[in-house]
Amino acid sequence: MVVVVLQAYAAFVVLVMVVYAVRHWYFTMNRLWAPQRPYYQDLYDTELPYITVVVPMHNEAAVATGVIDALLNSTYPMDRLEILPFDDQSHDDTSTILHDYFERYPLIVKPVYMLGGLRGKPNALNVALHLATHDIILVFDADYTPGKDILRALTMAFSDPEVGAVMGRVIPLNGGKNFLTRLLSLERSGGYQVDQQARYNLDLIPQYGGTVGGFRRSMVTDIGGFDLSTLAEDTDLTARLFIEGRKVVYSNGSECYEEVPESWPARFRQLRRWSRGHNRAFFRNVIGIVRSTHLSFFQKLDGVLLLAVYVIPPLLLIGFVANAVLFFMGALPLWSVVAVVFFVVAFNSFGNFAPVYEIGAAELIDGAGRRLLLLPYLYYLFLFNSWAVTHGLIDTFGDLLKQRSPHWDKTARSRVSNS
Amino acid sequence: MLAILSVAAFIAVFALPLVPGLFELARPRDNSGLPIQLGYSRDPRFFSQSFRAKIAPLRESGSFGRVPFLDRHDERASLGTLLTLAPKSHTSHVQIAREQLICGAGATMTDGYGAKSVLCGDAVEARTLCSDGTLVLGNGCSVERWVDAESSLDVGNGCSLGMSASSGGVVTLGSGVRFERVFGERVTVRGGVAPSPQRVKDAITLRESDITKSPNVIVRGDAVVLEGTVLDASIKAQGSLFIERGVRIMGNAVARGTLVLLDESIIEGHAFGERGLFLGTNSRIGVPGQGKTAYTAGRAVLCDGATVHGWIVSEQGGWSA
Repeated sequence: MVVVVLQAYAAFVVLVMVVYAVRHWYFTMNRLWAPQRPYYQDLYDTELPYITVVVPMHNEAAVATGVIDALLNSTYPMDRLEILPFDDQSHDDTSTILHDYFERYPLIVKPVYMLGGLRGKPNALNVALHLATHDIILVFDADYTPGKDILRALTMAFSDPEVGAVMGRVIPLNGGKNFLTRLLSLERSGGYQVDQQARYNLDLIPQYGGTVGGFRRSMVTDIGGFDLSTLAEDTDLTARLFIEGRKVVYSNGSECYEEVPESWPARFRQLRRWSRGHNRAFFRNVIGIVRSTHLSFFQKLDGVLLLAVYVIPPLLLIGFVANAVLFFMGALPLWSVVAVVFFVVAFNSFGNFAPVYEIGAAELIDGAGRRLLLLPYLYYLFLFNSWAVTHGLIDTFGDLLKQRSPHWDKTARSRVSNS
Repeated sequence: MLAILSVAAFIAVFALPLVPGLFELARPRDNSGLPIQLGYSRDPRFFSQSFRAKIAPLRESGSFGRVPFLDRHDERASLGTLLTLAPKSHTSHVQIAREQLICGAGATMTDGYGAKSVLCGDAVEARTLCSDGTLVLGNGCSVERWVDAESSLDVGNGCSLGMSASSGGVVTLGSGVRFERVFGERVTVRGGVAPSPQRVKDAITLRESDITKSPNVIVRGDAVVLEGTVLDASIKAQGSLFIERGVRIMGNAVARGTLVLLDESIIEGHAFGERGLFLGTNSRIGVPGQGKTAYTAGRAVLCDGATVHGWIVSEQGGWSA
């Protein structure tokens, strides 16, 4: 009985890997060879919409001036721009810095001081839904450096009445700092340049990433605002918008610098947090995605695979263990050994962690050179990622069982203060 | 011994792909971040404004005759108050006229600039043309890259406008003009009529009484907005959007397929037709004084009297009927 169960599980893991492998192979081919779907960046408008830009901050004194200065230097008409930096219970000089901006730009920069209560980005965004003056709300993380034209480029997506949210492309500012940041830079490249763009091309489920993007306040309010019980309010919002028949669009040209973690512990915590929040969004929305009357079969399939992405590494790790047990029990058929090895390679090559195909293609599009030599290291990063993601999944189960709200664990900044 | 060799071989197989990367890690040569043009800002007249800035020192220098042009070794500029190119003549010098540049029929040239005006006869070929005043192209002219006029741009029949044509004022396109991007306070066609695309048979039809209930209209498939409808909202069709005669849409119109705007119809916001764009006779995009965009990733066709206040972008090339 145990053998049959383990063999069935091993076969299931192989099947899941095949599905992901085919999905990402198709994304890569689409990005490389198919006509690319146009975004709205070419829409010229002398009367741009009024917008609110929200910048959630918690102990961001090191980077606060960078993001606000960049926003103020934008080409977006200042009389149509409102900036709401949220000081979310900071203990450093963030509030002083924000107050200084308010004194200099009282009509544009309107800081919000969150002095107590629940901390975290979803809560700040829910408050922003009430405080923002305008229907279009753009969101930047505090460590981001928006370019002069990015507000306009992101805002133009809302010319399409079906669009509920828009996501731009994130590019690591410190990508060359050390071994870890170089690998993360490769991962980011694949995730945006190929994965997001292909999903947008194919009218599937591009993901609102919550950091360089925006949403329509009325639509988010209609679906009940942001879920305070999740650490991945962006994924949750993506799923809920699509379930209700709205769209998320991706703007590959709206590029913005961010900081990636420079230490392995920081990266571990970040991945664990993402996994915890993402899996919560999975459990909350997977039924809704499947049952939505607004989505096509392929949109539903892509939605489920997107939501399940942080469930897969633990699934695989358990699969390895199952195969090892079968091997030592002498119950591992030869086909299973070959299939598992083959599909682990396929999964890593084409699938979810996609080093060779997806990231390689993305880096080639971006004009990479010798950094491509680092691609094989991503095979081994997979184990690290799986470990962190598995911790996150365990956290999710703990949250669900104990009905607890997760604690927001902010990623540490590495930039030195210039304020 | 065999066991040790087996383990070593096993480790080697796993480690081998990492070896090339060690060289890059030991001596990084490709570790700079992807560059972003943070200062970039979209400007439909970027080419001409950049060109004007580059030739400004030459214009103000007081020099006349043939002078070196910027840092280019293979090009020189001809400077003068009134410059004239004889019909069917050829010059490889950049023409910079402090007042007027006149190009005779059939003349070929590289870049031309006239502070007050540029007048081209029929079948003139140029790489770029620029004027701080008016610019007139005769019939059958061809511009390889871009053409820009500060005041007005008048384009004759059968011209080819390269990648970009722009003006701070009015752009008038004759019949059979090919273009990719045309920008102006008002871009209008003085040409003929093209047959409109066929209305899709099983499209969802919308009339005013259907669509006043919702602030915006979203149709999953092809859609037809019936004649005379007035819509104070934006509309999107997942397929093609066929807007019949005399319709007025006060918001944007977005179609994943082709966007067809029949005679006398108006879209006051943006017109976005992912696969194609057809603007019928006397149709209009935008409102005077407010720049909007008529965009397609496919081909655009503009009939007589079609007007766009702002920018026309046709990624695969457009033409006036």
